[in-house]
Amino acid sequence: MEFTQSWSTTARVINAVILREISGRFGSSRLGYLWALITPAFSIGALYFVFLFIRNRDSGEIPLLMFVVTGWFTYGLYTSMVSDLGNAEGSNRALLMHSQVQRLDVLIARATLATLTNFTFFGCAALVGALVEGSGFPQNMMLVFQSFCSAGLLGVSLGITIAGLSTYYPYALQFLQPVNRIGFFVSGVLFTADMLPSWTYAYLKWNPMIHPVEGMRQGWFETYQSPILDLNYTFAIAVPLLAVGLYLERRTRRGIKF
Amino acid sequence: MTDLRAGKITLEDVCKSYKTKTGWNHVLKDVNIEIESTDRLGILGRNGAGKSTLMRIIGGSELPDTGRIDRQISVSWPVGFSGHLQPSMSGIANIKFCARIYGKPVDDVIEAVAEFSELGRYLHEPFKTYSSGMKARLGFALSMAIEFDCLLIDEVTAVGDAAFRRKCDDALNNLSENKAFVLINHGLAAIDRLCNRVLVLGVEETPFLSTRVHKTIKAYEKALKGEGWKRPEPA
Repeated sequence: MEFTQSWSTTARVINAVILREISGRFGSSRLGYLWALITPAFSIGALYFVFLFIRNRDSGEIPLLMFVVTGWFTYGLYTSMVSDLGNAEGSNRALLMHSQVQRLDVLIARATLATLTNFTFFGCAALVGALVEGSGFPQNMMLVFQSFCSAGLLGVSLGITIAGLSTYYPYALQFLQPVNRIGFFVSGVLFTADMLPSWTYAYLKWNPMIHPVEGMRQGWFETYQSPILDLNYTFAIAVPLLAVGLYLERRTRRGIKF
Repeated sequence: MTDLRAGKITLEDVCKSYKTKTGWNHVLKDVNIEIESTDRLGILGRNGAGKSTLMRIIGGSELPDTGRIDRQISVSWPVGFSGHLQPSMSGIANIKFCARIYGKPVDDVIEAVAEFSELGRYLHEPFKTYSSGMKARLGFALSMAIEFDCLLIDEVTAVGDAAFRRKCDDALNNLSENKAFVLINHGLAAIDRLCNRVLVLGVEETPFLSTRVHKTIKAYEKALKGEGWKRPEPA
């Protein structure tokens, strides 16, 4: 009975925090939640036109718009998880004044919101891609799902770890931001692995974020076969990191330190 | 609504310290108190004595380094000037959030807060645009509307105009018999008027708890003037 009541309280709090996040982030704007979709749409549109007219990027048999969308979306899910979760306590410290609200509730709420936002956006972008380029829908839905999960899980794991570390090192997230910016350029958002010389594969494989991006493209496009895809590698990093993150979260909850 | 719950909050050997640049600051040491569901507890102490820390620990928003806390009754957040309220959200949105996390009917809470706070159309404005008096009104009204068994009130009744202060006093005086509150207020007269127990921090090695509110306040006032602390005789 107590367990059921506790879960019911947790579910209520997570729901309230999600609504609060939406209201806090987008409530002051007339377009509200649409901004979450419009902002990346501008960025993807800009990248698409750069590739189309200026760099004339050859994406093989992959439709160019969906090439950009699949890369942007997958990497975007990871980075939004890291920044939203890593910064969860910093921007919600006052919330923890409520004994009902645990830091983990805020983390779950933010992860749920980031997943829903990215998922909705990706669905819209895929629809636009289908209309503009006649690109089809995923050829291998399971691989797309696994890639989505691996990118999200890696972001969640790193975000929770950063949230815990922030108790000791408040600027932990700031140190990670430049790494993620560089990661954007080396994680396959702007290229596929088969565009690069084969000798680079041995180095590329070490980047845990290139596999979800490659997996998303292989799963989405029938014609693309990644030469380096290994989602197990990403999961093998994300799962232990999640355990470390949850341990740190537990130890640093409500200001407790080692 | 009459709350028939009877219970208490128990703090046993609670200690709390913070690391500062010059070393550890032991803010609370061996706090042992019980807050019954009918108590009106005032907390006295100089700035930095640990009043707000103790309140956060009672409320559960901060954990002690050592010691045990048992809450058998529902406890509010520390009701301060703004605290937990989101600055970019409107007053209404903040009320809705609090009602949701405590599982209270949203419309009823909005109605109660609107009536008590008398903020009118300002409730639809972002919280960050409120004056400190308006923030205090909203914070206090919200904590009353959620109907906790024990309210934690941190200085909030000291701001606002005379009418609001009187309204807060009336509200606290008229709380049902099974509701408790813990009050921090630098205006000692308010504690003298409203509380039946008082806890003094920073005058002895461990916190001093007394039911002789008036005499304890007088002794504390002397200590503040540098005349030394003399514990009032038990009744």
